[in-house]
Amino acid sequence: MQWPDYFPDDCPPQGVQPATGDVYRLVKQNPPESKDFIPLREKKTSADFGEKECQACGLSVFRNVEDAIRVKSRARGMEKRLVSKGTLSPHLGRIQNTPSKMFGKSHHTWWLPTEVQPWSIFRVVQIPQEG
Amino acid sequence: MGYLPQLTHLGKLELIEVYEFYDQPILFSCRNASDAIFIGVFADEDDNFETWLYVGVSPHRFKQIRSGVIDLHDVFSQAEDGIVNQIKVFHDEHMPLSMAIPASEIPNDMLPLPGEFINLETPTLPELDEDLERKSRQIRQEIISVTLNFDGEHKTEAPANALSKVLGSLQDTIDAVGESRTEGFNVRGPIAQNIISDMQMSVTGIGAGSFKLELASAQLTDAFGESECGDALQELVNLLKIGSNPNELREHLIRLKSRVAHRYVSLLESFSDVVTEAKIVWASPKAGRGDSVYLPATVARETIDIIEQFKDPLESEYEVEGTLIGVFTDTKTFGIKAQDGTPYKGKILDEAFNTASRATISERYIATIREVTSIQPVTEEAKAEYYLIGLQPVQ
Repeated sequence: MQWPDYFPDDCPPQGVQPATGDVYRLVKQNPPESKDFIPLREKKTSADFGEKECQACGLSVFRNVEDAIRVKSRARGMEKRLVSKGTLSPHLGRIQNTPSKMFGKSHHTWWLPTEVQPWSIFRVVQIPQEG
Repeated sequence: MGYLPQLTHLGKLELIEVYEFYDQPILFSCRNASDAIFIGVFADEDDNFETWLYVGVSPHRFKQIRSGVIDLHDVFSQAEDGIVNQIKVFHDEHMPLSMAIPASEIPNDMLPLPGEFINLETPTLPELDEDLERKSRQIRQEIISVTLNFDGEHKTEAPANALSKVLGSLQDTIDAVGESRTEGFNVRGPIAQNIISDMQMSVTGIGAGSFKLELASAQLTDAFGESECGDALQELVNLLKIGSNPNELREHLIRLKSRVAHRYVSLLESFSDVVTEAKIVWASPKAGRGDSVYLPATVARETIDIIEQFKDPLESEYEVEGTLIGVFTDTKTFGIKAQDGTPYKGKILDEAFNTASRATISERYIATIREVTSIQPVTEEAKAEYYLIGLQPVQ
């Protein structure tokens, strides 16, 4: 599996699982586009993320849709984003549970190899709270 | 840390805790170098920049927010100071723009929805209270905390006499280690006053959790976080971490010389006589420095026994190049003046006697000298004796 050149050594970390299962990601476009899947490291090329460097190379996804909805109501900068759903498979990279202090196991970090087009497998879903 | 904007009027920000994370922290607490605490939230975005809100909170309000007493909407809309800091972070990595605006003027659609809380157990704020390394950087002083367990139970009381022995022998050992690191040092005479000044530690706090003392160096570190006292503490912690390993102990004590060995034994005795265990944590302003050592009384006693078993832990051998100033075959004594002017006078041992008796006065030689140092019990002054064990002319 070929990882982007900017990934540090040992990133994704040893022992991280192949990407599988349903996940939710908040996107700006419908249908999702490539710019909805840009890791923070690519957006902030000169930032020093220290020990969080590897995490900055990955993307946030949730296993539970409720967590995606909660984020939108607590950080209103996310409010305009749409909830999209994708089903991951091992050729789409590696995934690791990176739990938050409050909400446990739903948040995951997903590391994408260079050759995949993640936007093609995500679809925006309607959620009751959005009417 | 690259997650937070720097070079704004909020100062040098660093994360305390993250409550929501999505590609980056989007709801979090942070603080600046002068310990002002902020709650930060990702509030809005458009094609050019992201808008973030930072509100200053007092430690008491921080506890309330963290434990779910105050909802996130009110954290910003009812800011304690009536002010919220708005920071625009540009996508093209231009410098962020920051401005303080009245809380009442923050658009409602930037604020967390009412009814959203952080609900974390918040009995104390350990990350704020216990961060010795951070405190050390702030005050630019070395800090050590010494936790003593006097009877195996958690108590916040300590016998005054025992405590004075621990503190006194700790300072004495630091003084001696500091002395051993000075250039051209020899163990004769009392420790110089300037070294005692540089090594001085002051008790700055007493805390609970067994019996805990916090000491800070009187000496400030330089711009690189370095100080003579920090160097001495590094040596002391290295020595403590050796524990009762005989080979390493011997190697270190020979290098650090007799006074350190003598005082180190006193320090270990002060621990082993009165406490069941001790823990020493050292924090330094210099990045990468600092360490902790756990010292059970059993290990302290073993270490004392091993140091005392050394036949002569204070013996070392080295070569000195200089001018031969005397050889007296009847008394088997010699004298050589080293290149730096230091005179060495002592006895000629059998293995060097034949060579020495044929040597020429005023010629240059390389002398192999064994130095044996003893401590005078009353004055605690060290006395060095020199023995010639080899002599060869400089080619």
